[in-house]
Amino acid sequence: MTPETLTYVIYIAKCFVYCFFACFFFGFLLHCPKKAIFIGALLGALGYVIYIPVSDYFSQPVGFFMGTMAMSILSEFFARLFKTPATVFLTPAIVSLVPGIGLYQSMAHFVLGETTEGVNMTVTTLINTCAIALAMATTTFVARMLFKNHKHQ
Amino acid sequence: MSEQTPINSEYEKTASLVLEVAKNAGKIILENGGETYRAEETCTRICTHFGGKNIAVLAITTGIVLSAEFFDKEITTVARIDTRGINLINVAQVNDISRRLENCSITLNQANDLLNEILSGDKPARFRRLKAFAVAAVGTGFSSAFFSILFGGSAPEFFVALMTGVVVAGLNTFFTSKKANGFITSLVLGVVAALIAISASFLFTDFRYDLVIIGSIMPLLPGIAMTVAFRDSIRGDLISGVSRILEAIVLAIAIASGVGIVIGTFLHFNLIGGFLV
Repeated sequence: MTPETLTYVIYIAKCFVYCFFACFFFGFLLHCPKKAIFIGALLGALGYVIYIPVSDYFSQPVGFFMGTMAMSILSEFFARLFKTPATVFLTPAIVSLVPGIGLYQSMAHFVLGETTEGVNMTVTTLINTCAIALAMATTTFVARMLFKNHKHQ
Repeated sequence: MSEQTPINSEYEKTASLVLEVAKNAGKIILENGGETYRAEETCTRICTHFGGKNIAVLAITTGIVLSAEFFDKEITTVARIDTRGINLINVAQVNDISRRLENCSITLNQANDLLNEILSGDKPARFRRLKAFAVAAVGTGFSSAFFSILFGGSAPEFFVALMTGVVVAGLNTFFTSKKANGFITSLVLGVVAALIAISASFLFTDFRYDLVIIGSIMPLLPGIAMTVAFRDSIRGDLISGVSRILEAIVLAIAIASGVGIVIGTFLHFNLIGGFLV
């Protein structure tokens, strides 16, 4: 393994740990039930760790889509396993991917007077949010179609 | 002269109780951050389980309307939803109650009592309010701190973000207890967060105040609400989607304005370095 890939892998591992704790405490804030909060934080960290390489290789919206898709699929799986609604696992998890930083950067550009970059950033953020929402919506509806006869989720 | 059954016959009392339970279930789900389709589905399931026909549920962000037909008589009930927060324990509990109703492991009256308990649980005694503040402070503080590090911060950013998060949580609890306007609250919180971050940048060298600000506004930002809004729109609940998107945009503008005012002022007087965006 070349030194660059090693530093990249270490960087991703660090991101995983920080993201886990960030999502964990965010779930704490959202009054997540105790058995769900660990899994939610794990999913969040996993989604972020998928987002980083995919967005470096392809593009940012694709990265968000893949990350959120992984989180949604796993949260649907855990929801059926633990008989809890999928939102309970998904909400602390998507916090890591949700474009908070994008909103801040759009605002920063507007305050500095750089209107074109501000509009650019706002549109990028909107597209990213659409990607996230699409991934969540697709997974939910596919899951409900496949498991239509089960007890409700 | 036609015979009319008395208005408070046993059948109709049970029917209105079923509707009441369904309405409360939907209301709790919507008030605590559940999705619109989940509320509608839970109501429909409860009513169908007890034999309702022609069930129609309309759940929007600010209210829920439920109508069902029991014994050839149509009853309707409406509930208003004034505040929307996120409390996933309540959503999970309602889901659990409705499962148990369908399994017939609890009776309708027990379900009604449990739901009323959840509904009235939002008037906390002094100790519970302190506990709520502690939960919010720890949650906001540490998540802000870890987000700052995630976006590239180091130890000084961690601790300043932790402190900012706790202060922001305290102010938020204070403002919501006084039932202040959501827009103004978010504006003030943005100002406070930016002030603390920028003041700390005078104390440390190489301090990335922008990372602290990003970290500390993450819990405030309606990022989750925006994603839920898009999701509702995709599903077809257009009114719900649009109203949530609007709420999210308004809050985001409030926070951004608050932060922007502080940063703009400091920049204008050349007190801090440029943005490290």
